[in-house]
Amino acid sequence: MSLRTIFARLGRLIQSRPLIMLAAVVVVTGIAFSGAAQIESVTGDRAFVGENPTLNTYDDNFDRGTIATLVRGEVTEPATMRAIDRYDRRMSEVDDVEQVISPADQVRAEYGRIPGSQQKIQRVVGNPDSTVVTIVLDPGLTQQQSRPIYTDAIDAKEWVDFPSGVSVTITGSAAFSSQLSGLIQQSTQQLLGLAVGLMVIALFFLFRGVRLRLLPIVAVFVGVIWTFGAIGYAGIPNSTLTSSVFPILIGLGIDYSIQFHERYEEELENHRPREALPLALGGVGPPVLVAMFSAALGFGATWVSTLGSPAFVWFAQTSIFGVVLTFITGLFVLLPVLTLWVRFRSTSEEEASPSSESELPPQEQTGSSDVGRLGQALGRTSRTLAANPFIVLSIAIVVAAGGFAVSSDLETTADTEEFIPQDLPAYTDLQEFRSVAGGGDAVQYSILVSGEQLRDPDVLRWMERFRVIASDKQQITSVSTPATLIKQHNGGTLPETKRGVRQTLAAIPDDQKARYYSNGHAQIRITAEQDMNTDEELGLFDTIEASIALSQPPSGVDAKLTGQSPVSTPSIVDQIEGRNATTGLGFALVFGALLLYYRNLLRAVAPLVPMLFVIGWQNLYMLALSISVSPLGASLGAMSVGIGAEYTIIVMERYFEEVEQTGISRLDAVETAGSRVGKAITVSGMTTVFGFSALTLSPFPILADFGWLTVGVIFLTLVASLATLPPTLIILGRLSDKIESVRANKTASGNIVPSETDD
Amino acid sequence: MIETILVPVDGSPQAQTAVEYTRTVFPEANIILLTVVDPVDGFVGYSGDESGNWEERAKAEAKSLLQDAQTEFVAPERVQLSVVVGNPVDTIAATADDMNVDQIVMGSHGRDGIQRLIVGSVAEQVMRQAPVPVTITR
Repeated sequence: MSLRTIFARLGRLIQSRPLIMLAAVVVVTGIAFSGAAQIESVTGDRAFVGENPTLNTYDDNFDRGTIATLVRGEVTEPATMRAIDRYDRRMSEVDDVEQVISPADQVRAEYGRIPGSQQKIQRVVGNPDSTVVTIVLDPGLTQQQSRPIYTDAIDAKEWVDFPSGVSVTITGSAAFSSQLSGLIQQSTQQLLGLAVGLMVIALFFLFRGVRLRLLPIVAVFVGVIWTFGAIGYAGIPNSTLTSSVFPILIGLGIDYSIQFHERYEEELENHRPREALPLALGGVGPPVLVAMFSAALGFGATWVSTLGSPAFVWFAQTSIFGVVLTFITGLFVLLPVLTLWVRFRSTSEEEASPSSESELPPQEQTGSSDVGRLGQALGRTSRTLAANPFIVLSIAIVVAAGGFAVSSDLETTADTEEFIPQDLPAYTDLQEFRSVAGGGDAVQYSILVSGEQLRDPDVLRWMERFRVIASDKQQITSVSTPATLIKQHNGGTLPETKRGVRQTLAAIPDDQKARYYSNGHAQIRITAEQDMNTDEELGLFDTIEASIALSQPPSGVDAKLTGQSPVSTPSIVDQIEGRNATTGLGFALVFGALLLYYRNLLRAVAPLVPMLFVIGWQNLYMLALSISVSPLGASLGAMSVGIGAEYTIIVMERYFEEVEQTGISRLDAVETAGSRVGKAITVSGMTTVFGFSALTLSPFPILADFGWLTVGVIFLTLVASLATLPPTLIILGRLSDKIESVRANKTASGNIVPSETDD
Repeated sequence: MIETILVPVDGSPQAQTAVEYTRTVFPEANIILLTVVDPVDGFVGYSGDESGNWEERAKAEAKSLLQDAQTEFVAPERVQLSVVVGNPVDTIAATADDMNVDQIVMGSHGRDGIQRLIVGSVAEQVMRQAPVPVTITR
């Protein structure tokens, strides 16, 4: 059974059972809501770090997430120190908190209580104007598990009631992740609302003269709810990147619905609703399915080429769910509602004029319906451009070549801290904490040391050797190793024997030892300069690796640089640098799918030619608007191929529908295709542009940039589909004629097959 | 007196039998040859799997089918051709009513087994809906 027949049957089914379809949609939507409630969110570097055994070992043993509480003011005032003590003890009782380290511990250790005299307190802790209370969390906690502890810390701060004049800032990874997670959810909802609002405006003005013109929004919105449900059930978390999918989906999904809507309207001009829907769906269903499939493959290319970097994989998976589900809701929400509406309208019209001839089946009619001024203008433009194929394509090629040439000049953004709003309170708190405390998570790196004899004097001497080599390097401000700790407690020298090491370690408090030794592993901590850019950070990682090699670890000892940042940064940079491969894979997958579907080289190549131009043009657009290549932008090439293929496939299918009728020249077919489907793809393209433009208002710089980028790229894709596809089809058609005539000459010894003329 | 006869034609041998029957039994009547293009399944003579504008192709195929059938009549000028997209049963019945035909002559496809149980034959359904006598040829 052909795809056309399947879609036509589906059309008949929808036409005969619209209410059952809608009831099923309501049930599925209910199920989706329950799935959406299960969505978790993951933020920061964690979203960019995949499965990594070294990192997992490090996380389980040493990566104790911390919440730092910065207390500024008269910290040695007894009232302040008592408040710190209350805060310390309250937080110590919170689940998943391993320990709380505060100056109150030292004071209490000295006096057994917090004394009422400031001098006594100052005798123990000195006279600082600020102090830090560090809440150390249990190792291996997920972001979801650590976020409630941040909320507990906020509550504890209120409960403790610090004296006036004392400022308390709670920061650290859990605090940061918690605020960011809240912002992501809020921003996802706002962007969705904004995208819907913009599309309502776009459809209202662009989709004039069509009944229920806002219905595509409803259909796509149901699709978005289903997508939320699907990612909830599939366990795909919401992250900064994933949150950008939803405005994109509204933009993409609306295309499918508009195509169905527009074609149904077109068929209703000549047929009764009962015939119009099967005909419309039989006609437009297969190309839209192929287009949807191409978009999914574009995202599939992103998925395959970013394996190991979860945020990208989640982005691609969510997008794939999204395009499939918005396609399905286009069929099962839009068409049943439209069917009921048409039925209702025709019943009221019949009641209003019982003598009408609507009962009579329409006889053969010609397609002389009004395509509107926009359609006519697009048709004429397509014809003019197709009549001069070499000039049009030469210009397109030259501009695209310019774009490819400047590709390497584009700035890149790989630092995850640059992805977030720079005025986010959690971020400014973190910056403030770093400047006061002289360091923070982002500038500390760790080396995980594994082996059997990590307390052996030889191994400790190697660690010392490494410290000397590494400390000498630019960017590295300090290195502390288990050897450093042991030296501190052994009069500044390393013990010569194993026994000496054992004795020294026995005298060191457990909490200090735990920072360096845990479950048969050891940790070397490196503090580096703040504010490094991505290149400097990558350089630092190389330096550390080189220092490890240079220091020659003893046999049986394995030392690896690890942590969120050393794993995520190179991974993000790889994605950005490998963007051409991702785009290439997108092209290859979509081409493969088109070839499989059409079994015709011309039809598999033609829709991709304009996309090739767009990939080049978009680089010039980025350069002009100073948009840097972010990890999201790196996936745009594959995505544009998928999205753009929709426009080109729909124009091409209509062209071949026309050109295969006898007596119609290629230029006539181009004009009809341009006027008939040009309007639909312009409306859907402009609506998509409006939807994507919501992203430009995102508080996340990475999303705002991506918004500008996608708005430009979709517009360019639309231009390429309408301007460069017709000339491409003409040239490929001529080429195909020539090949066929050569083949015919060979087989029929000079018998030339007459070819169609262009005009 | 039978003046106008509607003969639905779909490219099947049964429809061909109906055409031959009509030609032989009613040589003086005005004939309307009708092919109904079902929006899903086309008609027997058109599978509809080729690329291009399906509806246009189906109509063109139907027209060619009807033109072939028209040549079989002694007085082709009294044969009117009609191609309509729609549900076959409804369209045949509606056309009979609309064109004031005196009789419908059609072949029986003889759907069998489960298909017949579920949908019945087109001829059977036309017999029930048509406002005029229906002759089924075998």
